[in-house]
Amino acid sequence: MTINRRYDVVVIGAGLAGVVAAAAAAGAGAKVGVVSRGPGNLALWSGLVSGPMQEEPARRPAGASDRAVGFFLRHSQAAGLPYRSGRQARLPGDTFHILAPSGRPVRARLAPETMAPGDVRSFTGGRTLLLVGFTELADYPAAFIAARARAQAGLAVEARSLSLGTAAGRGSPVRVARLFDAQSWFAAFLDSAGRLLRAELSRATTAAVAVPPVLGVLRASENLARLTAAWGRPVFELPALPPSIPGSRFWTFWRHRLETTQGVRLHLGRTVISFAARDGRCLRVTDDAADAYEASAFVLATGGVAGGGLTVSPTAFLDAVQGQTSGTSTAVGVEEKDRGLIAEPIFGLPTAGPLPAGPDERPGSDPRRAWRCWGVKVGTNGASSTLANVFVAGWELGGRVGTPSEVAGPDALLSIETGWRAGIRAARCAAATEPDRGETEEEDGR
Amino acid sequence: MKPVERPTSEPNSLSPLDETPGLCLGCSACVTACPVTAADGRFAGPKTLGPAFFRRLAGGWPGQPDLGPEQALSLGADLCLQCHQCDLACPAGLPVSWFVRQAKALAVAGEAGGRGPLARSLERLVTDQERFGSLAARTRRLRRLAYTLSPKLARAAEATVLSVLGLSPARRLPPPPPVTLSRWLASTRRPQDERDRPPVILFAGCHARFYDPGVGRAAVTVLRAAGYRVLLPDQVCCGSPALGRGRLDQAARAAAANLRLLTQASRSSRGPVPVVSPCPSCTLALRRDLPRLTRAPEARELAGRVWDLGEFLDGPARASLDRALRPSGPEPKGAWAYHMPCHLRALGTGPVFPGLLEHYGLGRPLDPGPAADGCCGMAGLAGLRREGYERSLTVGSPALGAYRRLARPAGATAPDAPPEPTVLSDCPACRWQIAEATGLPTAHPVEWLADALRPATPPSR
Repeated sequence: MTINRRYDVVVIGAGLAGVVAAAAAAGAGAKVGVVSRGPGNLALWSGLVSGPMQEEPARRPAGASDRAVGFFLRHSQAAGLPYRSGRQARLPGDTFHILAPSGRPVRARLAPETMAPGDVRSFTGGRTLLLVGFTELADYPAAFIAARARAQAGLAVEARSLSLGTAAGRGSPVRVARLFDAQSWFAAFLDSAGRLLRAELSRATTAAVAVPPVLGVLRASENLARLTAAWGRPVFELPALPPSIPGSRFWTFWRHRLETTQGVRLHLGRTVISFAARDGRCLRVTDDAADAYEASAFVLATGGVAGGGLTVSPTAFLDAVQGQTSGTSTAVGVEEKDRGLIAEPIFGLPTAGPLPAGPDERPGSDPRRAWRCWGVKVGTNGASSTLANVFVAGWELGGRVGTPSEVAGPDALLSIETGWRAGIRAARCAAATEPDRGETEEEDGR
Repeated sequence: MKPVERPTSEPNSLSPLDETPGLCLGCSACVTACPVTAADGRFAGPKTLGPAFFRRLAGGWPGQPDLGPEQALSLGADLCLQCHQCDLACPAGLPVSWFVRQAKALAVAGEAGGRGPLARSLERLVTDQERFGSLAARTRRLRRLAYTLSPKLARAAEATVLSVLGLSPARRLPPPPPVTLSRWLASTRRPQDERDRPPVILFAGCHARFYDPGVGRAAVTVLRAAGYRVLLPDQVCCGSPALGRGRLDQAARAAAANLRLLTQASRSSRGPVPVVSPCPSCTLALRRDLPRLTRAPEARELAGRVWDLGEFLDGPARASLDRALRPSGPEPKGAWAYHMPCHLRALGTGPVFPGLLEHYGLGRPLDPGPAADGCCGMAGLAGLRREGYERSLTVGSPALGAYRRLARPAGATAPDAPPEPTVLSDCPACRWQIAEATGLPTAHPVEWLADALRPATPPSR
């Protein structure tokens, strides 16, 4: 016995692109269901949104970036987890430079409110950044990060490490974030940390204080505001290694808004495995529990190769690379005829992507990494070239492909832009489609 | 042409595929979803105790000592609540909690080894709701009498009994019901056309069968209104308390018994009869664990027709329910919030009842904020146990705090003050925890639907 659920729009995948698509489609008035194994890689995401903003004709019509970013900023605010853009902050190049755990600054277009005051370009000359670590967080070695930042990026950074005591247990960021969510514990921290850091905080050269991104899942903004007030200078978070609390916050706040305010139903722990289509349109998809989800439009946001939304045949891919490097093939891109290389497993949609050129290429064009740039082939409207009501979003579209040296992995901005657009287009497509429940002549998917 | 090294793949010896830990890359996504990792520093977390531990347990690890109860205990495996939220976070779709359960089983067996025979048999009694619950149901007259004579003394006696059983004396047992669900069902007037109606098996759950038949009555009332013939065949505890405690043998016996009883019950009907449960933990145990525990071919068939009550009402029963309950019909019953139980999340249904209640005119739920989406901490038996009581409040503190903030400010007892909002939740353990920790009234959403069906009749208790 299976359930047949009916939605206007069904989003497959609940990572960044899927969540943004669901929010956008629901915002456009569609009844939305999300089917996903889980929240994609949100638990691994630093929370920073990086990526170039240039227009890429086929995939991003003019103005889409700004509107997508505007939607993201508004929605984050409404969800209770505000983001800031480099443009709003009037930063050079509209870009944040934020200190990564490698000790090098990374660039971001958008940053969570908790990280936004941390642009490193303000910490030079006599202005020092005090980088506070917590001893129990083994994956956040403050002294190492500060030393690297001084040596590699020439930044004025000094480090202090504070112990959180036995309450921090085994030092999981998840445990530490919960401590910071408890108001009584935070009050005690505010008091004792202020005392321990008195020397550093009394120096006028200490321009700001950075902490690992563990200041609570629910109350980070309030906690940072109180620290900023108490210590008389900006206090902000920096990105850290997974498990990432900023990513987990994003999931917590956006999921809540989707479920409560936007009426979106999330079917988690489900893997979509097949579909039914007629006349070049998908009618419904079916999950591994044999439940079916009917909709007028679908968003495919299953994360590309990294997320399991594309599958790679390693031998076929290496063979193709081999043929390429030995000069037996001259194709730069591979299309339908080579579908077996990288396949989209739900709908069997055609994929496309680059094969790297000869063996003497520049760094960054490692043939074995080219899969990151592969994606589902879409038309100018962002829908699949074979199923007109399946809109593709996020990493499933592949990375940004430029000249071989510019081949880069997918980024969060791509997920936001394409997620937003796919959501809007799917909602429009659903509004324009009369639900058609005729079951004749349909061809069943694999 | 240079030779290309082809990766070889060999099937993992452990099957079925979804029970192999090989797909775990150690990304820690499960850890971010774990309410126990957040609340208790001793718990090593679902990654370490799940796939990583299981790999060593199952396959051995060259140079590593064998893992046993001691290692499981030292990593805090006994603290896992089996809330299944790690399963929903895993990018590889692994049943992480299934692996952690194996570690927990080891830890619990290790703990039990250090106890006397009496303590062990008491624990067996408590995790076996079939015995414990029917004991509670059989003594309900005595308990009611005691409460009528002297509530204070009755309460003290109850606390002593709980304490002897290893449960927290701070917990309050639900008031003994005047009549059990099956007795009540037998006494109701059956719909005249019942023989022609499609049958549905009510898997009521121990809570409804032994402690609070109100939920079962409401489920029967609503299902009948939707045109079904409700069957309440013999059934035993779903095994969820035993599973949660890591007592896998006991859970397997319960699964086998239910498989037999429920298969028998639907045999007399023409087609496969849907099995509907108002309790998400029962639904989860029947749907997910029963096939794993029994490994019988017919178990998959049975699991495939097990429904969560909300899902059933919103799905197959929706059209006839729409005829029985007019949208925007009933009087609003006051403000309410909805708590989504972890096991309902694990079922992947999404929140169903809030939409149904709103559709039938019971208003929109209050929004207690994202903190309330977390685990309430109770986790069935875990929060009832003496050593688990405080921990359950710690685990649940964000959610419980969020519901507490919905309560009227203290002193707002003016006669015109609105009544306290009700927290509706499908899970009896969640309701129990929320009621005790916040003082707010709680109910199963189907009780509100049932009341909406017949607003003129006051609900009988």
